[in-house]
Amino acid sequence: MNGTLWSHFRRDRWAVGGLAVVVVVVALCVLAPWIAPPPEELRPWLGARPPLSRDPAVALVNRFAPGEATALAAGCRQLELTLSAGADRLYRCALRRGSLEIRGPDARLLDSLTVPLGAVVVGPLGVEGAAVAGELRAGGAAPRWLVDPARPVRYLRLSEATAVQLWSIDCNDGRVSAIRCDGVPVDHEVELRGERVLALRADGRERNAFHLLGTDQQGRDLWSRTLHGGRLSLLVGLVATAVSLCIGVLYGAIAGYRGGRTDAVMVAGINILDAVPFLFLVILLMTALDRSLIIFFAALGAVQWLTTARIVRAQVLSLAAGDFVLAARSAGLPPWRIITRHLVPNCLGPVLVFAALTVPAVILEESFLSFIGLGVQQDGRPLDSWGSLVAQGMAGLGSHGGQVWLLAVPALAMTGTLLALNLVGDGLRAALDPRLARMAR
Amino acid sequence: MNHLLRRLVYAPLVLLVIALATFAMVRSAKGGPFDAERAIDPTVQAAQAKRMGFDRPLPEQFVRTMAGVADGSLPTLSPGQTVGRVIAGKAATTALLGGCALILAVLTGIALALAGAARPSSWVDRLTGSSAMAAVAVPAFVIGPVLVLVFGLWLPWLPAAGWGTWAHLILPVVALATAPAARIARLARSTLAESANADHVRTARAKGVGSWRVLAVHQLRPALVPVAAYLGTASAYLLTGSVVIEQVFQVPGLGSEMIQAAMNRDHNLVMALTLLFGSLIIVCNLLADVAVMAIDPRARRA
Repeated sequence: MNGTLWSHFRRDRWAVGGLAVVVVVVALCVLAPWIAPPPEELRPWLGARPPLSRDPAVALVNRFAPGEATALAAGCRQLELTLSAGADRLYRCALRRGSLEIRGPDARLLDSLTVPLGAVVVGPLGVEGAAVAGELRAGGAAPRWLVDPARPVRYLRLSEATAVQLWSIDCNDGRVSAIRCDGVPVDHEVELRGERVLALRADGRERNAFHLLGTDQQGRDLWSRTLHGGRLSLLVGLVATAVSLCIGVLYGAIAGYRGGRTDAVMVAGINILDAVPFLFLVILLMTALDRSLIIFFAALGAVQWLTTARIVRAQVLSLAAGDFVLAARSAGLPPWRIITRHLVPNCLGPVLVFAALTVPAVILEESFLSFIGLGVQQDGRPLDSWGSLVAQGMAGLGSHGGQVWLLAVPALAMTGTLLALNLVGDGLRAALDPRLARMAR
Repeated sequence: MNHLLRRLVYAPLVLLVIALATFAMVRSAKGGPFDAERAIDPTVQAAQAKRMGFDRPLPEQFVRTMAGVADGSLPTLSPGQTVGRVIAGKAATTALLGGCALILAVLTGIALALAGAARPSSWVDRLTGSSAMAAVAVPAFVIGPVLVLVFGLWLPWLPAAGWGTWAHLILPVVALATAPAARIARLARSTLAESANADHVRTARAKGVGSWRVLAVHQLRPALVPVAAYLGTASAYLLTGSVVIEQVFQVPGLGSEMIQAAMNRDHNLVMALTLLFGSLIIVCNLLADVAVMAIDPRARRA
């Protein structure tokens, strides 16, 4: 039977294409820890970078002390860091009763502020926007690009005039042997801030971190975040589907095997639960309990089992009349064994085919929940999934439609995977039995 | 008739299940909004519990809570507000959004199915078929931000967010209607394909009825049956969709109220909204059954 299923499936070009996409996505997500840097690794450059960008591969804080080992120096004899020596200053701009109030980095009130070219507005959640050069006056009306009445506090980040320094660090076996700044020897420990490093050369070769899909506002690599988010989405999809299968198969098998009044009551139960808007109950559940992975598996699994139970019940109902069940019963097998050993294995085919369509449905629900901010939490911290990445990407659009990749990448990853899973599920269903296809619709 | 009767019998049971489930969840909730950092004096705690009615037996609490939801007098977290007043103030917005989306979805879905069925296997048919297949998989919370980006920010033709004028209505309604429109197009298209070779269609063609007339008069009616049956599911989709769409477009409706309430752990309000949405879905399912019977005489006899 498996052979015919596959030969039918193979003829459906869309389904085979979908299967290929699913295999690639699953492989990438499973291998994510080995092929992408850890998603939480902060790059020193605050501010989103577009896809295909490169940054010097340094850390947030780079310490070099004579005679001590540093990770950066591993495997090279000389490091050269080009550093901009200026400093960033944050100015707090707030609306107070409709008039602008400016405070300097030392929290003192300022009367006016000259905004140079290249200044950056930092909004809530670290979302950045471009500032408009010119003169700001305290006490007057605030320009729209700076403060918006709905969010009355913004920060302006101004870079002071910069000089370029060239730090050169000689290394021996990964240990620092000499430090020079613009050719002048330095004999004490130095700390170079990553965001000031303009270029890093190791033995004369540029050493860059490459961001295939760019970075987000906090400098995190988006390729890596998307893969790790996909891991969570797929994990929830698979495990919750497995949970729904367990519930559905058991419920359906018991209803179908016992028949009679038990069956009638259990079918009525399915019909009642069918009309319950589970997703709203899940929202309520997520607000009532802490949102651990286990609760997600259970809650989303409990949403999806009704159709599985229907399919299993119908199958078991027809199978239970078979001779092999009669034989098992007359051999004295208890009902429990008959169900698990003889009936359930016989209806697994259609059940697994339907499960292929349950996986995308569960992923969609998980993304929905994490999009509205009710995603999985671990130790009080929300975990990334495709839904929350899309939500953050939407926040990244700001009011100008910049940083499109933050929305496009997770949205495409999620939509592509959902579409591929749906194609596979549809293909399997059509290959198994066209009649079943109509029943499950 | 039987089917509708069964639904009518089930409706109160469904509502009871939802009510019990919501009540159980709210009562088992960990961490309320009034959780204080330091320990509260037990007498104060007892007084608080008495005021909230937590010292009564559970069944009594359940009945009281549900009565409070039913007449809208249950208090929310905001002082002086009741769930009834919050819902009454925002229901019209969500109803307008959902209603427009439903109408748009049905009209475009059927139009796409007819356009495809008019010339089977033509490029129109393939295009509508494959785009409907793709659109079913795209969640509303992806379509919404993409529409904002394209029509709100890149081409500033429509307001990207907010509420108040007719222009504000367009993007959220389109975002909400896309998936159900695609589903309706697929349902109607497959029934149109089945009936293309039916006897009555062939007879009509043989009598010289024009192809559009055959399609719109003789084939469309049976194709509407699965569409009408789908409307119950569609209403559930539109309600859940409105939760995200209202957040994306910053529409002040019940959906965004639901998220707000969930974030604030305003359990009473979430419970009331869940019950309201649940009853709406039950009603829509009933209406869908009535619509099926109105279209299909066979369903009336069954």
